[in-house]
Amino acid sequence: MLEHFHVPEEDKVFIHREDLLKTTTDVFLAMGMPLEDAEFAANGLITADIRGCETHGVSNMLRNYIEQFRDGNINPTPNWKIIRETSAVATIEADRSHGLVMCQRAMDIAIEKASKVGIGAVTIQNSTHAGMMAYHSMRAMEHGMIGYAITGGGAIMVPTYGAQPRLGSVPHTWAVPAGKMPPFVLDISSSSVAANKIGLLRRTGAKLLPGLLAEDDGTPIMDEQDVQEKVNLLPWGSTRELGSHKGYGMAVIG
Amino acid sequence: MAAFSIDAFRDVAEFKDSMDEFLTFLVDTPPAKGHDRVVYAGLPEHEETEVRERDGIPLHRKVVEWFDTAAKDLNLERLVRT
Repeated sequence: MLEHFHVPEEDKVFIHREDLLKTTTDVFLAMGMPLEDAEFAANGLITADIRGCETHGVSNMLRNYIEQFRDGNINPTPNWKIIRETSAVATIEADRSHGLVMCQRAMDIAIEKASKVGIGAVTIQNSTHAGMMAYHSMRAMEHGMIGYAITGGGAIMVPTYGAQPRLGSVPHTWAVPAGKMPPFVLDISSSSVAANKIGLLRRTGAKLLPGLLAEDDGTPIMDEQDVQEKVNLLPWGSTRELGSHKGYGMAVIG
Repeated sequence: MAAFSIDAFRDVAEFKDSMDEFLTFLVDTPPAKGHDRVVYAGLPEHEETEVRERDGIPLHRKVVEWFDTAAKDLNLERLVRT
């Protein structure tokens, strides 16, 4: 992540992984999740933090998740089930499961299918925020496999030439194992910036960089300025001239 | 979610060797003016993981304050600082 998005030096408080994991697991347990699910969810958040992806770690997401549990948007004890299945693919009805948990379980099913027939793909419906998507694609690497994960949802990004958000930021992630070298792990949104990074900018007091957001009339904001109240993400590429149709197209896939 | 079994396509060890070769080829690219090195997706995160496993995760002080409030509200133990 760019230095621009990091916590200012004077505001840093260091916490060991195990301590953060314990407290975060306790929070999820307090929300009513079973232990294994709470551990999946907490590990997903801390994996983001430990990799330097604060946008999808405890700072940005845990408070939001608590609100969603309390609002009833996330079901802590979902009765999820497979509603369609072949030897290589499956579709899950998630019953408003926490996405951090549901995606892990879906990837496990995909891995099991891939171990038998070479490829496994699992789609999920009626789930909630999935956290850092690389957390899910990386799971396949533990089994000597390549992982791919994508999620959609929401309307926070304008289409190219559009003046109203109609798309999610739609991250695409690939995790490819190597031997001695660290693995190749690509986790990119289809927007110029992940929506969570805007919240991070607000908290750190940093300026908005050019090409991340659009004005309410759809005009790309191409100068550095304070973060505006309403967030209209621009597709990856920012303007048509710089290739925003590519991000727009990638978001439609989600 | 999708998983691709490397073994179904080719020998896993050979694949990993070829990944090592290609990723090394990328990081060995001469850096552009004003830059120290070339990285690839996942490399900075791998390096950051090693640092944070050792030194701890830097949270904003406001986040730690929020944790303390949340822990009190939920009757949980207070978050331990390093």
